Amino acid sequence: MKKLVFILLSIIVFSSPIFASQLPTNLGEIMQAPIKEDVESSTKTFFMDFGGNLSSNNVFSYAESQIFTFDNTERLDLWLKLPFGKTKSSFFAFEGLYDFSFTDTTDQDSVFSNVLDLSLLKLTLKFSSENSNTTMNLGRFFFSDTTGYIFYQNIDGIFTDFAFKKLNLSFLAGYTGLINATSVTYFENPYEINTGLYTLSPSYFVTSSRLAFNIFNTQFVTTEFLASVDFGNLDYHKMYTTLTLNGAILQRFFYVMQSTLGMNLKSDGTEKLALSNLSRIDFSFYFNSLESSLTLSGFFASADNTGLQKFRPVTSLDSSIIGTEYSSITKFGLLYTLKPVSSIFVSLGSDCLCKTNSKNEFSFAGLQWEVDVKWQIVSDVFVALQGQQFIPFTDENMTYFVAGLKLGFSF
Amino acid sequence: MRKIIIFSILSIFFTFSLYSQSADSVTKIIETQEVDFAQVSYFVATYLELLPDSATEQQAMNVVSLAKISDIPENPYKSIPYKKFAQICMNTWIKKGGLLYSITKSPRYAFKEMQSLGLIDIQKYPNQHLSGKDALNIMTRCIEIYEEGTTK
Repeated sequence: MKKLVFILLSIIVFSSPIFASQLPTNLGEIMQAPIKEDVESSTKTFFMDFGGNLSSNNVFSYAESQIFTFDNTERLDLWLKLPFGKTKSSFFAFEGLYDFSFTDTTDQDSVFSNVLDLSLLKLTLKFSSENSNTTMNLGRFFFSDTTGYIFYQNIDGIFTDFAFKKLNLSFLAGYTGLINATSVTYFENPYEINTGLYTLSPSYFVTSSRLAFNIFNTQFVTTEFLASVDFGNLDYHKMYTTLTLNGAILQRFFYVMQSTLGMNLKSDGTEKLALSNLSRIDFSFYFNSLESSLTLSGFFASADNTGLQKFRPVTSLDSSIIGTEYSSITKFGLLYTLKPVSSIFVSLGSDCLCKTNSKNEFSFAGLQWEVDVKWQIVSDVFVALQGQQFIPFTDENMTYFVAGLKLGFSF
Repeated sequence: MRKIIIFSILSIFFTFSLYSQSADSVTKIIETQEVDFAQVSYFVATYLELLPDSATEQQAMNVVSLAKISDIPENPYKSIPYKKFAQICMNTWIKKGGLLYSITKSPRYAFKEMQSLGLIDIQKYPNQHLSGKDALNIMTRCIEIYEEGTTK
């Protein structure tokens, strides 16, 4: 028995040095941690998240007619998110911004502007069941139509999305009249925007119904009906029906095909119903190396002499650096993006732009190239550089060059 | 001969009792609805080989504190929020962070850093508590990326 006790003690003595070297030397401090007691689960903690971004954007532009322009924009964004409910998936979100900008042009006086905006103020409710997930947004939020070229801005209203296994259904009803007009541009709207901290937008009631479903494998179909009713009697009542097909052709090769039939009716009743079209086709290939991708795109927006009428979107977006909108144009583009190192994103693009001339005929307007480089120095600081040039093919347009530097900091 | 058999059985029993505790602890963490500081400390201390698997949670907490990975909270058996857990992961594996994390070393910016790295879901909140399964998943990802150099 003595021998057995001796053997056991020997095992303990010889085993302990295996770990002894890894134990902290200051053993005096060990065993000070409290002993486990019954602890109540702390599920009643108040959850909240907040943050902000500071950015400085400096753009220098030059037009052939010896006009130099310098734009500086300093912007502060603040946001807050308050979840509620058992799963914390429903929440209240707020986002506000202050924007100071300064423009100096060689042939004009300097222009200063201050903008205060509430870019997001919404209540998001999420309901999940065995077969579906429902998301409801109430308040002010960002909304884009399926194409991203017709309606692309903030709106006040209600958006509901029903997601089933192979089908997605969504509805929007909203009003634009309370949005800050300085942060949105509307297509050819004669509404006069006063400069000020907060200026109300033109009044449109906007509604959308969208159905997206999976036909087979990786092929998807999306249909959307969007309507905007002009309350201001200055513009058009506009309706759009869009059909989108998208999916994979090969493992890393994708396509998007879209066509929209636009229907416009002058809101004061002075014009007949006009039909227009917006079509787009994109092919994207994703490479194995450098997280790079190549996209080839074609874009058409009808003009008055194409058998259809001029395409009229609701939101005005620039299709080129010379300020051409997505109306009465044909555009072919090539875009290559890559990440040479994980913190640097590079985008190289070139577009060939055709638009209607003074005789209302389509002609080659020019060629545009652009280079964008973004360096995420650390997770909360970035610097971005941009260079763009428009080379005209006709005398109606001029050479235009843009160079920019942007600094951003999030907290 | 009898003594040799008894010796062998006791040796095997003793060895297994040392290593079974680690497996038990992992199983216990996985089943935990809200992970606490003591459980995370045990995983970190044994993973870093600061303590043997047979160590207790009290020892693990002290070692984690001595190694300056994290201070021991007032009640280490109370579930910890994501931001505290993120601070432990940052000090254990990731080390370097953004500008504000480098200046403040605060749990909030540790949480933001891990969200920007994609290690913590963007839908989570700094004060939200995490399950043991989520904690183990995040720590495993940290080990894969920062120790084994693999990205999945």
